[in-house]
Amino acid sequence: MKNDPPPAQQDNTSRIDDIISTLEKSFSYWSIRASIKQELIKPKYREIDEAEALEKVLQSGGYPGQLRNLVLELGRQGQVAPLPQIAAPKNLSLIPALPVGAPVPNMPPAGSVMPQLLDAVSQARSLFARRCVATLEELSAELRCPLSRPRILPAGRQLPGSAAFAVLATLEPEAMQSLRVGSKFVYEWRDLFQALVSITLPATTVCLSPPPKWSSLPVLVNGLPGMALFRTTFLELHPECRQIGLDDTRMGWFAEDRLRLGHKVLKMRYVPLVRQYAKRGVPASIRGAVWAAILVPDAAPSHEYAELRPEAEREELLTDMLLAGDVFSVACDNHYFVFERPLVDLMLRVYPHASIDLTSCWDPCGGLAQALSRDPWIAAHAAQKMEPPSKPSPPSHPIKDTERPTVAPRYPPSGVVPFRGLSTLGAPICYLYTDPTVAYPVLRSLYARYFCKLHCLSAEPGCLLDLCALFETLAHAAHPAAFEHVVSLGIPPLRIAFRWIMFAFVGYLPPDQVLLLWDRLIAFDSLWLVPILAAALWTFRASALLQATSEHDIELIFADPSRLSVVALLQEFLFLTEMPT
Amino acid sequence: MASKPVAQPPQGAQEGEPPRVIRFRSSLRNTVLDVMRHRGWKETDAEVDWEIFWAEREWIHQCFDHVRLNDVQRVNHFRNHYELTRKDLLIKNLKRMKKQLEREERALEASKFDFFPGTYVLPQEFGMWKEEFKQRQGVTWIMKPIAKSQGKGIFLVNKLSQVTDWKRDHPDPSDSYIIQRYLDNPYLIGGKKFDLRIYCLVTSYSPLTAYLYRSGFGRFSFHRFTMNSRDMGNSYVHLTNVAIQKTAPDYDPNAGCKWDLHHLKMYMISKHGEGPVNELFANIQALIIRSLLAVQKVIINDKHCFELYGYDILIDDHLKPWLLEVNASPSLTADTWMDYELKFALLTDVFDVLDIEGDETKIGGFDLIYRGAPVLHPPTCSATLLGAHNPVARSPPHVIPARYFAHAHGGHAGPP
Repeated sequence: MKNDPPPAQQDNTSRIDDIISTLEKSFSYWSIRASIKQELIKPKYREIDEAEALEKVLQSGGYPGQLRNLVLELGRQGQVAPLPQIAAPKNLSLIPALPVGAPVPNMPPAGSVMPQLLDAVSQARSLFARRCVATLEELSAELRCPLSRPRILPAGRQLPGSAAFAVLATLEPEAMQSLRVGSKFVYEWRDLFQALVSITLPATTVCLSPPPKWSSLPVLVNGLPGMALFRTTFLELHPECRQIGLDDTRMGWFAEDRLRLGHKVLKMRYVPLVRQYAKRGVPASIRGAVWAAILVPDAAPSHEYAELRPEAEREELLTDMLLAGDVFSVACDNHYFVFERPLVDLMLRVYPHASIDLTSCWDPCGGLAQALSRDPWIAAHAAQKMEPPSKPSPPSHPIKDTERPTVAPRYPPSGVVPFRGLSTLGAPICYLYTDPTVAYPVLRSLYARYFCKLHCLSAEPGCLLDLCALFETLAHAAHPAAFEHVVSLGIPPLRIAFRWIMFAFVGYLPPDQVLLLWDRLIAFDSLWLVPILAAALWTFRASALLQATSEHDIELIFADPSRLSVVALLQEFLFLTEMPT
Repeated sequence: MASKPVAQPPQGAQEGEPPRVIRFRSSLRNTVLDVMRHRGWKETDAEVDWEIFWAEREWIHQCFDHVRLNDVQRVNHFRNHYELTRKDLLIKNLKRMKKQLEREERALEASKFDFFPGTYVLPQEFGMWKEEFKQRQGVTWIMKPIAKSQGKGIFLVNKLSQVTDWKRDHPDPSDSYIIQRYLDNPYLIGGKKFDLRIYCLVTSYSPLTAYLYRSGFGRFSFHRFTMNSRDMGNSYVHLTNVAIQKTAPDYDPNAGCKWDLHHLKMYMISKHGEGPVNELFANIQALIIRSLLAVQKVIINDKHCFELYGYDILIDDHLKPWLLEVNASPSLTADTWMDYELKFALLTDVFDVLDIEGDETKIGGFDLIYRGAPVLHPPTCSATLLGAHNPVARSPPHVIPARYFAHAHGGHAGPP
């Protein structure tokens, strides 16, 4: 450079230096470099100019995208300033209102939660946790299976017929039977619902305004995002945007277009771009790849999964048994029964890999960090979600059996008490992957980012309490008469919607629709779509609800979800429903 | 946007005319009856005084030739449907069609008739089979009785002595079997073998007019469900095949599980991509048309007749479809609520296509695939709509028999 660069550029240069020096401290950076070098020494690049070869290697391997993902990640951890965005391929962003990768403004400002509410919720949480521990101990006695014990049968044995059966093989026949018919579980949705609606504020609390009469929640949840915010956040769901899951069935060319674009985006491997792409839905043939690109951007080395395996095979936990029993019941679902074997494999991998306080598992942020602490990936990635981030980091080496306490308060190791239906959350994943080493990190990430929030009692923004409150608010705002009519029948509308929310619609909607919903959930990085869809569905049936006279009527109204279109419901509710904002 | 399930008014009412009541007769007491009643039709047990008769095959064979029907009357079988639906005759017709095409030097088309495994009729073709057996060492064969259905009397063979023993024990030549090369490389999902059940409605053989139903299912053979069926009690609130099969009057512990075709196709697409899977489904449609063309000349066309066929198709691990069997009376008794929905919708659409009332414009989930010549669909991603989303609203909840509803609630309202 002849002259000194102008200040702005200088600033940029120093920022880039800054970024590079930070990058050089990360292992991923060096492994990306190593793989570029490996590629470069291949014979096919010997003939051409070095710079040209480098360019080719970079573009074909998607390395710029990977590096950007890395910088993005470091940026999120506050280690570097954010980079300017890279250009999206043509026709990716039809509505340029939101820049690619812009943070989704859907979190209410921190500190909006009342301290009294925090106290009340944490009290309810520890009460519920104590109950779970008690139930676990009861089950342990009843099934004559200690909370954990070394495996009796050699690992990896395969009994004919059923994989879940193999897990249960060491139980006494009667215990096995009761697990298999699904009658034994620590808790189910009703218990959690009950715990949620019985949160009680201390009598001295006067500063909180009471919740409206129609709400079944005992506390008023403040700071929920409103419709106006949703309309900008979920702009890509606007009816003017063509959608996978709606327009592709009528317009073959659109599906083909999306597929071509998808392959292009996948090649670039830049997470914000892939997210942007997924906002309008992902064709089935590349869904697995797209989800993995977003959720597991630095594709986990496959040996990691293999390392985790022996741990689960060396000892067996009562929770394994409960989970296997749960998979049994999923395996009886018309939509998922074919996946029984992969599902057992997946579920038993995801959950038992950690050591953790039971009480902390109900806090998705803190509990999550430890939830999968055997797994170095989770430990590193979930840590940033912790508030405050100063909790002691979990041990990175596997804990020896002798060190592991087997008493109740630190059980199960993952901190996730398998409730009835937990394995349904893993079932749709089986539609996407046949290789468990690919499926496992995706499910782990989905669980860590989203699903753990669906069954925790927490006052943190975006968790179950918020989601339920949002459903009530939206459903009431969209059609007050229908909502209040159902309330007047003595049926809390939230009780109807609770299962939809708690299971992110698995088990209710057919899998193709669940996957279309989860496309958006992952793309927009937001669980809000779950209560929004619940409210949309509620409102869609509002006129029928007005005529209902009993709980049976209401069950009938929602009994048949087979013809519902998730995308159409969301579009109509978000953009075509008149609502006071 | 999916529409709400609303009760349809009784059909057949034309403006200004008094509504014509359709009278039906049905030998079946299952979904067929529910659908016909739901359309506002009136049941009758009159011998011939009806507009539509859902008859058993025996009636067609014994009575059809002795009654005189008027123009609007319809019966659900063709006179000699067995040309297509009896295992040995189907194979004979397919082989003949193939030879004929070869004679006409249409080698390419003839080569497409390769969707049935090598098959011989025993005891008549024992000699031919023996030659084939000697040439193909190590091949497993499957013996199926011609007259029986639903997997009865089937056994596997890999030694010549097994067949000679069988011959000795079955001296009656009318008790014939077919012996067929066993397809030992089936496509597996979750480690399980399955076959597809696909429905095709033929309303005429001259010109050949065939409608293919978009929905169907894969039937997975599961035996583990029999182990615990005894205790699958009321605590089981999931929508489970077991629970419902058990309460269904015709519970068959070997019936296995059904996975709907749309989801099966979606799963295969996510595994193999659009291209190969769309090709597979297009090949299935082509296979069905070819099987119908093979019998078109021999089946006696009759304007009173229509027939709903259930095709059993196996996919191998190279994504090639194989025709196992065609059923003239596919089971219309539902074993689950989902199954009931499918069959209710299927039959509703059958009657819409037949247009007994003379006022229909809809044909629901059926797509016309052949009328004298293949029917081309508007350009979509794939060459067939088989396995595509089938969103047409049909069965309103109130017609769901209570026995399904108890389970339907538990299963459909989320995990228990």
